[in-house]
Amino acid sequence: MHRKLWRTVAIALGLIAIGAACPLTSGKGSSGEQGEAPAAKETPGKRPSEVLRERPMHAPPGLAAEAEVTAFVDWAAGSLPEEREDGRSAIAKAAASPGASAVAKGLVAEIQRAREVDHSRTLVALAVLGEMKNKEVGMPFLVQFASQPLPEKGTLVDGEIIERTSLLQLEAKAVQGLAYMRDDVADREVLKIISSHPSRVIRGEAINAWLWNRQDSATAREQLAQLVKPEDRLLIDRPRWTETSTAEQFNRDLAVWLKAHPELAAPAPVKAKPREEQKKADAPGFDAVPPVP
Amino acid sequence: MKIRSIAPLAVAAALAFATQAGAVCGQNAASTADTALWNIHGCWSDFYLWSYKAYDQRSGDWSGRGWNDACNVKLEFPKHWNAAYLVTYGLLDNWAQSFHGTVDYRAAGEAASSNFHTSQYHVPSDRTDIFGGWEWELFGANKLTTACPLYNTAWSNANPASRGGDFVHEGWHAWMDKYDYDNGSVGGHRPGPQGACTINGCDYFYFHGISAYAFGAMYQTDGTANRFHSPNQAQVEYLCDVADQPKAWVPASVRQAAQADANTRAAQRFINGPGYTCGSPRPW
Repeated sequence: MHRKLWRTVAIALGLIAIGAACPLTSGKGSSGEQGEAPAAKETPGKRPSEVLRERPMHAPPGLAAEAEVTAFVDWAAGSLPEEREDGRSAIAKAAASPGASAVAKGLVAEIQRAREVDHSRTLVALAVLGEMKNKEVGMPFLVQFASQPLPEKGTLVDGEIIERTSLLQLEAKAVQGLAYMRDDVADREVLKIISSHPSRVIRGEAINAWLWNRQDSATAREQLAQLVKPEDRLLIDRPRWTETSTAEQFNRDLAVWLKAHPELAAPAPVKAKPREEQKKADAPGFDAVPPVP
Repeated sequence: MKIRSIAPLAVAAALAFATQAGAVCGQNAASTADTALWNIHGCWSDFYLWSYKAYDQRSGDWSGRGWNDACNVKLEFPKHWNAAYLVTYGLLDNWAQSFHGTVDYRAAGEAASSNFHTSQYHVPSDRTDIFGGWEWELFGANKLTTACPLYNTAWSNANPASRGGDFVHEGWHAWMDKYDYDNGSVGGHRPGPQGACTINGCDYFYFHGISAYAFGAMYQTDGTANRFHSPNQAQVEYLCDVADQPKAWVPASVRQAAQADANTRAAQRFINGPGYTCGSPRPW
């Protein structure tokens, strides 16, 4: 009885609420009709192929002074895969210049400016700073950055504290930079992170980066095996998929890993009760072939 | 996230909608990754005039969010089609080096019914407690929602790679529904933390190698853990393909964001995790 009453009240409230909301929306909504086509205020631009053709390639801006950092990060963020070596050369040149620490200082400032408002820019700036291998300014900053306390409270998004996940991604990028330095002080910090960082995400990235920087040698693996938490041993053998990996190698690594760690096996999927009223029509008027850029 | 259609939740959602119908996600900026990708294609009208149909986006749902300002990348509709552009054109589709092909990821996220799911349409939401959602509807197409954390630059997932990854993720809930699989009671995921999953909303990773599926065959399953995908797994595989197998024009900030999302997700969201890592650990 109470359930019936609740359902009735609930539906009534729902209808009232929807009614209240409707005047705030305009045009066609979720009725199944698309309404008018979208439009732009600007005149239509060129085709992407033309935009790309006109784009200057292999021309990174200077990175010799603190004042040039913002423009360089802009370029780096938009750089294409075939410009990666251009970026690395420019960063190496900056790292070897007398103004290296000033540039690193500029990158630190860029990271601090962007971190609360533009996550992808922060990742790029951290990447450039790590690639620089600057010991005077870059290393202490990355050491501090990679060990920041992770938020225990914050905005829950799909079950995760989004501020924590954001910081995890940034700390992982900082750890990559530390491991890439191949410096005694930085190495000690990475090993400390591997053994005791509170997050497995960061311990895992530190293990991955440590091994990659040592060509995944048996010696490096043995060293880490003595150091890691018992539950992290499987991270030492974790397969790494990169753009230069081959399917054969990756598939072999994956098979070995899964065999060595049976706890990675998933149970059989669970069937649900079929929904009888499932049958529905296709989306109307849909052209499945996209235009050619 | 799978959204359940029961009366109390409908009321709550309706009330929330009533209070938020005029609100919009942050519209003051685009992330660096969004801007970088945008600069690659400019504002190509042919594409969004195609993609709004391909994703079944409706003017009323996207009004005030760039429907009539489709070249303003600070707004949700342009950000949506920016991500759709990446899904549609951004992968190399090298069968020997990709987890899956464009045809798979497109089919998961786009509207049309297929072997992947029945029809769905895309709506935006001002909710801040979800990245996105998929909801079965009694009449017509089902609803795929993308929410503020994918659009507002204050959030780490407000980039075209993560947004497109969510199209695939939510589309995979639709796949689960089409083929009658129960992936759990927490928004279509299993409760957590449990096992290696550190958050509340966990999946299993049904590991498979490269070239295990022909392009277009990602929907296939033999009903066992040997040939199956969970929503987070499908998302991670897409993000890895963006990070490691992108077209020659995909900007570094997009690839880096994809790698960061893939690796964090692989480590946090799988009961039998972590998954493998994607991308090089070299900083740049």
